Amino acid sequence: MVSPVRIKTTDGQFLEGQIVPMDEGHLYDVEAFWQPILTAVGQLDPVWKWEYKLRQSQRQDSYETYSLDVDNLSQGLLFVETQQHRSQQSQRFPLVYVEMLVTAPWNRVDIEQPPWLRGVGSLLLLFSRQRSVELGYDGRVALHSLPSAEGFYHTQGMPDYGPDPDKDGLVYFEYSALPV
Amino acid sequence: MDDQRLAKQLAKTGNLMDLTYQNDWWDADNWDGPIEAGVMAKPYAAYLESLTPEQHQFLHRRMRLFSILLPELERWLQSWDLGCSFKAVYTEARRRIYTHLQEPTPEQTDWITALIAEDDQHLPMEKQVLRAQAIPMLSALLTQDDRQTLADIAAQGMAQGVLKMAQVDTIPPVAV
Repeated sequence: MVSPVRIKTTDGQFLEGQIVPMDEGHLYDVEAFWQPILTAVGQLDPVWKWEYKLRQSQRQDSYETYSLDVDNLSQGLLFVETQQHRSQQSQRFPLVYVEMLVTAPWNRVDIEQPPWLRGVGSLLLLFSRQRSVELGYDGRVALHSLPSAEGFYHTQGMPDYGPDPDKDGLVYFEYSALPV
Repeated sequence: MDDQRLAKQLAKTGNLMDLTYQNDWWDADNWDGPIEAGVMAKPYAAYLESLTPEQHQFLHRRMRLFSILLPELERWLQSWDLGCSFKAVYTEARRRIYTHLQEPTPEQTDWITALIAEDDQHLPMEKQVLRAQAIPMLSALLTQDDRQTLADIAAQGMAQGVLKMAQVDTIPPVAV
């Protein structure tokens, strides 16, 4: 499954990209391009555990990993679980749970001045809602935000349900179903 | 995220990602901070904090270089008519190019700087003089050993394709 998208650079140019299922090539890219020094062969993914996530998505249907590719390079990654999580609202509808959402180092506005791309987070979040629709979950999506990113999810209009003691106190956000 | 707008888009095309082709959708995104989510993102966020400004600059520059070179590499390899071997050959070729450019020579460094500066000008493709040199540059980077390895991978891919087809041919024909 390939999903064509358009994304904006900070200098206002629009670039064509695509969201694709992550594969071995992406694993190499993240190790090679997201770090200053390439990790030795056989020691891939020592901290971020993307290799583990990729294997999990290959073994279990309920896990999916995606990469946002622009100019043949991974610009952001998304790891979702699609069958086991339920809404924390009164009616426990199934939803897409974002296990992890990250952008490449050069797209972080707080670090890079100027960053390369804007909107990687909102694009991957939009894609997770699209997956939710495709799975019959009506756009329901949930995640736990890192403390520094809570403002982002507020700007995305994602309802905030407060800190979750089961997830290291990270704040739980959940989108309800899209209006009919 | 404007749920009313998303619902309208779904009704219209069935695909929310089509919103990314509408300019005003991007205007609404003005967040200038981190976006990381999930407990598993914590080590990555900590890693980002640990990088020095110089390391960030290095990563940015390398990304810019390869965001120019990799589409050119792909275009070049497409002209090789590799068929089902394309992906495997492309994957190996990009690894080889990456390795050769880990420590560029002073001449290569100057060329890379000029190439990125040219890309920043957003010129029409036919006016990008340095980008037009990308394929000869990639060709020069590949050693004889690289070429042999790529040829071997291409041959293996072809062989696997033939064997797979031969396997299909062994199924008894359906009586008509």
